Amino acid sequence: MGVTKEQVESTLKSKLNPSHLEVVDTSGGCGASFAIEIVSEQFEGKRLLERHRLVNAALEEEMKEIHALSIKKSVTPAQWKQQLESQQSTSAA
Amino acid sequence: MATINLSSLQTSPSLHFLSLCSSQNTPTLSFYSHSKPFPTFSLKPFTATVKFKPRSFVIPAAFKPLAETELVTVPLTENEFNSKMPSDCGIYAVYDKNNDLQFIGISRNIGASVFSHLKSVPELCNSVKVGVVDEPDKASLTEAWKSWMEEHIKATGKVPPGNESGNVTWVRQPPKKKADLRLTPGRHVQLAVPLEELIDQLVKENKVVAFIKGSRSAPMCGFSQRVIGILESEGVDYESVDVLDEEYNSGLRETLKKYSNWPTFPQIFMNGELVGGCDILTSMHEKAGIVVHMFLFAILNLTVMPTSSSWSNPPFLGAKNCGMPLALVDARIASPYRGQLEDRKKLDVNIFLLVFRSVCKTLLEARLCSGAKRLIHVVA
Repeated sequence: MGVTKEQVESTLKSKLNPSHLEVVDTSGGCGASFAIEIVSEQFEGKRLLERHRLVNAALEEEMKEIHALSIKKSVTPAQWKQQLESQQSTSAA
Repeated sequence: MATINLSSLQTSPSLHFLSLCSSQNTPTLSFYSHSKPFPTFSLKPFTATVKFKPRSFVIPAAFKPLAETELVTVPLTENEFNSKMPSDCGIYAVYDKNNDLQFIGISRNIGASVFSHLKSVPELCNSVKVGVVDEPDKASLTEAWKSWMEEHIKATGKVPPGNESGNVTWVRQPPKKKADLRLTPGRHVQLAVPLEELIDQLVKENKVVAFIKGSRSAPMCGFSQRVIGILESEGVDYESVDVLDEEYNSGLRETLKKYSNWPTFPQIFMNGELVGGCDILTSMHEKAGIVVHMFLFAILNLTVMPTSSSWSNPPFLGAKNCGMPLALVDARIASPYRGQLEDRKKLDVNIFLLVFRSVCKTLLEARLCSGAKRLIHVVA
């Protein structure tokens, strides 16, 4: 059956309250593979491993169906802002 | 044997660029000489070629017999190598300090080959003769090689020691791949200890363990493959366990997921701790290199992970996020590392210092470790 992009999004939204979320279905339709970019305050003070654990735990139910979950970004709002700014400054330069 | 008209080639050096002489049976062979001045003949239409091909800076001439080829001292630095050694296809003969011929080789990149010899057997690489073979196909390269070999055998009655059969000094051995580790003696053997304990033992006894899908020589999932690729590219000495091996690792997948509290594979452990999956390893690799992390552990007994700071600041690591106060980090580095270094015979001290310096520099740049400046001083 697999999981839909919307399911993943709504679960992450309700559990991690992200200020930015991007879920890409990379499975080609079967719903077993996703790539995620997520920005959440809950990541504050946590190292990468713990952040990934948070995401994995939030998607516990979905993970039973998902084969591959690639967490491209898991950052705090402050870091996200910084990243956007540095991106802008490089593109402007 | 290749037949080459020496006089005609030598009087018209532009042949090298024009590659006029390129019939299959008479391969164009050119010889490298560093002592001769840059050609003064007019080469207007070919100046672009000269610019783009550094090899064209030397006079092209015929590939000469071994005896007439100039002996060049092997350069010692990489820069010198790039300027002095051709990166072309051809043949080369390596001589030791007594000017005894040690080995005649064929190469697709003479410079690179000689450089690797220099690294693996520096005591035998004193000087070298090179013969570049233009438009090299296998046959013409082999012919060129044969002609030098025959010449040497004729002159001395001996095969160069490195070319004797069974001599493996000069031929690169394919790196032996380790076997994947097996957790159990087999599916039908009753385990004396729970699988979980076996996992625990395994990850604590080995510095780096990668639990992957498939074997290390044939990973069966893209993420596992990437993990293996990263570890191999950094030359990390790691163990691998195939979680799909139902015969010897039966039940491992479910047990490991619980043990590590991590739902997916691959999983990489360092020093008994889960580092993460493919995404995290990739991030470590991109930010600093796995090796740096391992060195840090060796010295500081510290497992460093990519942290929040690694995302916002270009440098990679946050000692402050490792749960260890900076002062303690300082204190640990200050005294015991030299002793530790000497104990670890396997550790190449020079490489270590190089890495360590760069780590300190990174720390300093990231303003993560105020003591880094002092550390650089200590190490230097």
